[in-house]
Amino acid sequence: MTEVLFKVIIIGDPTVGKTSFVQKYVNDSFRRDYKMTIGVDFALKVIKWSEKCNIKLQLWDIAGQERFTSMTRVYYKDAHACLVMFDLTQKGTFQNSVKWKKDLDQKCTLMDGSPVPCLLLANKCDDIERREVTQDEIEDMCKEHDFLGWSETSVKDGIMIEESMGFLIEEMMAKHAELEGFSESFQTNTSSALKLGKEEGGKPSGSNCQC
Amino acid sequence: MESDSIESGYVGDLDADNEEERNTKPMTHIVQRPCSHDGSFEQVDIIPSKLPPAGIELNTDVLLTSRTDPLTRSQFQAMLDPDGRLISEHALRKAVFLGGVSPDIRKEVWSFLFGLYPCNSTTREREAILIDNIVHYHEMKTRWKTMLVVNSVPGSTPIEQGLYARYQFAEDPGPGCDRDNEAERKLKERLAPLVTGKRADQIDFESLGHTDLQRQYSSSEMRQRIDFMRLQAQVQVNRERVDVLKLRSNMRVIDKDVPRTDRDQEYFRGKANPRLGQMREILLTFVAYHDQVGYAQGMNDILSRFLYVMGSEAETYWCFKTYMEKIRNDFMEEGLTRKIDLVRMLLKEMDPALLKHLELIDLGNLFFCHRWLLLGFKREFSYQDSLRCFEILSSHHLELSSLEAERAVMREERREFENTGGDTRTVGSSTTQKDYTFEVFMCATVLTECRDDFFLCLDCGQAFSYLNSLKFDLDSLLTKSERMFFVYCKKTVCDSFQIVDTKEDVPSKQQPWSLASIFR
Repeated sequence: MTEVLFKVIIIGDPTVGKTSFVQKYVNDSFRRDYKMTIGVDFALKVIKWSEKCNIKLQLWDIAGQERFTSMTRVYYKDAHACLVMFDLTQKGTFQNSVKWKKDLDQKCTLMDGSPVPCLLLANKCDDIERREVTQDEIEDMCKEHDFLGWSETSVKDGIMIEESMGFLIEEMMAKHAELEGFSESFQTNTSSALKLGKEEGGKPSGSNCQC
Repeated sequence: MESDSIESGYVGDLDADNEEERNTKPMTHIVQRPCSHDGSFEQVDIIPSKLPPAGIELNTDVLLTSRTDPLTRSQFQAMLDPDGRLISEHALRKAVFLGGVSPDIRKEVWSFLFGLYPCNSTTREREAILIDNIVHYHEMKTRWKTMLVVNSVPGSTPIEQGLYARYQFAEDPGPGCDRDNEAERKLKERLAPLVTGKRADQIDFESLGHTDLQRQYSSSEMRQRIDFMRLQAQVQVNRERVDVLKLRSNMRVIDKDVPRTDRDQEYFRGKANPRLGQMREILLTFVAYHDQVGYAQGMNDILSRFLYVMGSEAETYWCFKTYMEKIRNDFMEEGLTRKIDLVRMLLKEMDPALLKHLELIDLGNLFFCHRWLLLGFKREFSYQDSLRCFEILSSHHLELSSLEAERAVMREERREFENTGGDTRTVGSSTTQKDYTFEVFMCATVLTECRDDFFLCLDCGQAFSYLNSLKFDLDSLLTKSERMFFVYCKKTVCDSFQIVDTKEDVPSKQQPWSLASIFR
């Protein structure tokens, strides 16, 4: 049995629903009263990908607030993929998605130098009345700023959560296979996972960051 | 700067047995190891192959640091003189540190602890200060509200102007239907004096949480007095500049955070809970007059504790404001980074091997302490415990600059003198890092307490999963932090002697020193 470790970060403005998304995806629960994230929250999900392969997914839910940026940006390091989330009912958060994407690309790339695969999520699509962003606008931004793709989601109603993550995982697996030649160290199997230091396999790899 | 032997030392130890041990043993055991004053840290087992039985060591600890029950009303009353002056601030701070405060006197104690009233004020003086505080706060609020109205597009609703937020209404008015909403119409009526540029001419003591004062206010003598106070307050408040643009931008974040502040607590629960409006107004008043600090997330968490304990809006404001002015640096990136760095420096002194390991797994910056330090461990405990933790930390009884620390250092110096035959040396606490506050010790203690588990974390992700699952027991954490505090005091003394003794073995230093000694 092989085990692949992926680190996914989730970024975006405050209150767009990052914590809710992670909690919904990992614990299948939704609450209205999540406290705001200070620094970073961390969640882990193990997915049985195939008979022979488990995926260990680390989800790093990074605080959206601006003030302590140098302390939250360190968590971009070694990310294999990223979710940039905004709130369809707050146009400002949509516009800021570009900032988040640029910030990520500036501070982090995969180990082959390519940008970290990034999916744009338009959350709160259940709230049709308050919606402030059109699909065309999202499509345009997605193309212009090299997002992998985009999807509307509703964490509250559980819409497109699994699908978006599934899409991202497919992408990471593809990249993983591609990079395998680049670094043999990428894959770790369970028995050798408990090694440290310079030995290959211990260090999360697959990306190369300066942050 | 470290030798390779450490790394290989523990890598080799990470076998199946340890893995099993990790799953079975409680998280809060004590690792016995000599607290070294010299370089021998490096020779200590990094992962002790055999852990001492945890219970015994813990018990000795409890005996040593007699923590007490929370301060009771009668004990507190005995601390006041007949006129209501606090006889000894030191005694109060010490009592708070040792046991916290019983909930029924928390408000009174916090009024002293957080500087709402001077400790030497009489009950009567405090009444006068209270009224002055209410009046002043009222004028401050009126000012920024007026500014908001004046700087709004004519005809906009109070919500559009920023005077109220949607979450203050039971029925969400929804976009576009603002103008027809009844609740809003009522508000508009109430705000009419503001809109027309005239000041609301009555202070609503009731809505500020002082029904008793509302009754007094009707007496003409009182009314006169208050009118005079208002005049004075207006003069003062009008001198301050309010930057409406900044206020509005802070407001956007505040309005995101207020509705998600401790809503799981009964006190803040439910739609249109009046506490939400109070929090909003306090935060807005604060940022209106502190635009250099502005609003940062986490301030809502700080405020929530004050509001819960103080109850009334004006008193909460002044406590919050005084506290924020004191810790404002923690809400600046530089200040907080510095504080985290203090934890790192302390850990380097107390457990360099652990720090080295954390560095290896990319956690050497200890940024994960961010939340602990920013909110005084608020999120790590139950709400009630977080209140107790907050007052204990704010008692500042045990700081390196405090009397207690001086005493501990002096005791150690005396002992050291005796053990070394009384040679005269130049010693002093000059080597102590006085910026290590008690919370810094608490952070370092959490880390050293969990050191074994940290050593089993082989990457940043594992360490974070582990950190997420951490549950602290407040009293035990406090006791252990206090222990580390005194260990540190002792260590600094030993270190300063060490500078002088370079060669000879000093008898006292050979034995693993015992805690009892520093507690007399």
